[in-house]
Amino acid sequence: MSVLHLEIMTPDRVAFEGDVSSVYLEGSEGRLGILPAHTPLIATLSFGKLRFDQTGKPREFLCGEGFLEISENRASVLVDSAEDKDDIDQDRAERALERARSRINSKEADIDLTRAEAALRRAMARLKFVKGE
Amino acid sequence: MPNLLDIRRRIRSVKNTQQITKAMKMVAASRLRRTSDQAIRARPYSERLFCVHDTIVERMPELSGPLYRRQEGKWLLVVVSSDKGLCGAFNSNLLKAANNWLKHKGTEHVEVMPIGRKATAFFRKTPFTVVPGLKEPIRDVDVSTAETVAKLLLDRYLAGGLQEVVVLYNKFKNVLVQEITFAELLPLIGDSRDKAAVNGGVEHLAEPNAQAILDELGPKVLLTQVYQALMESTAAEHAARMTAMEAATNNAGEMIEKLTLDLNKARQAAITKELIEIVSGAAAL
Repeated sequence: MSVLHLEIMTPDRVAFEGDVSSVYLEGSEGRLGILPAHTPLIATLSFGKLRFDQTGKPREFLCGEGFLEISENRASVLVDSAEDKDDIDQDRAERALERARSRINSKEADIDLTRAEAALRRAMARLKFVKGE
Repeated sequence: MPNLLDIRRRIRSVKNTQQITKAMKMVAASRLRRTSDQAIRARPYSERLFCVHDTIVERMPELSGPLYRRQEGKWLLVVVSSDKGLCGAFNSNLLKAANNWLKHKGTEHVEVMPIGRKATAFFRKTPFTVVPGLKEPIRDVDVSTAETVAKLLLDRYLAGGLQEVVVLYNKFKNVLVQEITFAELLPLIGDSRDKAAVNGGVEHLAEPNAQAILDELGPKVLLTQVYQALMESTAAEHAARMTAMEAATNNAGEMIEKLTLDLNKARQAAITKELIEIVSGAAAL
């Protein structure tokens, strides 16, 4: 069976490295499915789930924004963050969700609404991811 | 003749100092391990990111965007020092190099952004224009610290009037050697045309398109460079402190030996004197 070499890297560590049979990730233009021998590609990624199959065993990471580069059957995923299910602190995500909600609902003028909304989306995605939906 | 009590006191005080320097050496050693591990773990990401950046830059017929344009104006030097002292010539060498560089460019053509307390204190006394850097001292370098610095730099650069941003820091070469390094941060010019060729020179598809990718990639490259400089500097700082404290501990040991010798000599002299006194007293009877 043909395989693809996948590396998931964040600024502070290499989250995963190994041969996989397929990768699905959240591109900024829509979901991307990558199979072995994909044509060289550079794409931007948005926050979302990354799934790959490692010889029949599917694994999932929740990735931040970043880039995907494919060349010579090697896929490099360069993202701000990559969390395994065990890495996510559910309490922390819930607290972040609360914080983001109250920030959006508060009427103060000096609030960066886009940032608060992004935080809210991330917190919701984290919780969904942990609960396995 | 030296007083016995005085020598004993001296020995005690040097021993105390030695204990402190020894403890500091151990702390520096463990921090050094942590920070150099951190720097090594961060390497694959930055290498890959620069590679992707070069690839994109390579295929752009012309570079547009504010981060790639060369403008007329001043030079901004970012000086990464440490917050604490007691690390040998770590800060003084760095600040000396910074001072020379700034003087060479001419006081009216430069601005300086100090990072770390030592640099901040130093540049307060110099005639150069200071751009405020981090408000808080750095405890542990993480991505968010680098983000803060990168944002400050980006804001300053986009405000205009700067032709180049250069960072000066101590690079961690090995435990004994710190290398003072200048690195160009902005504008982002793909400095290594041949690196992309090493990457296979393949034509990549770009999604959504090369320009959009570059717009996102640029700030990330800057951030990663700042992050690396901060990490290298911290690792180098701990290495310098470890070496300095090791030397201090050894010196204290030598001093204790010498003082102990003096103490014994003085003690023997006192005993001999007393014996002579007793003997001559007995002879006089």
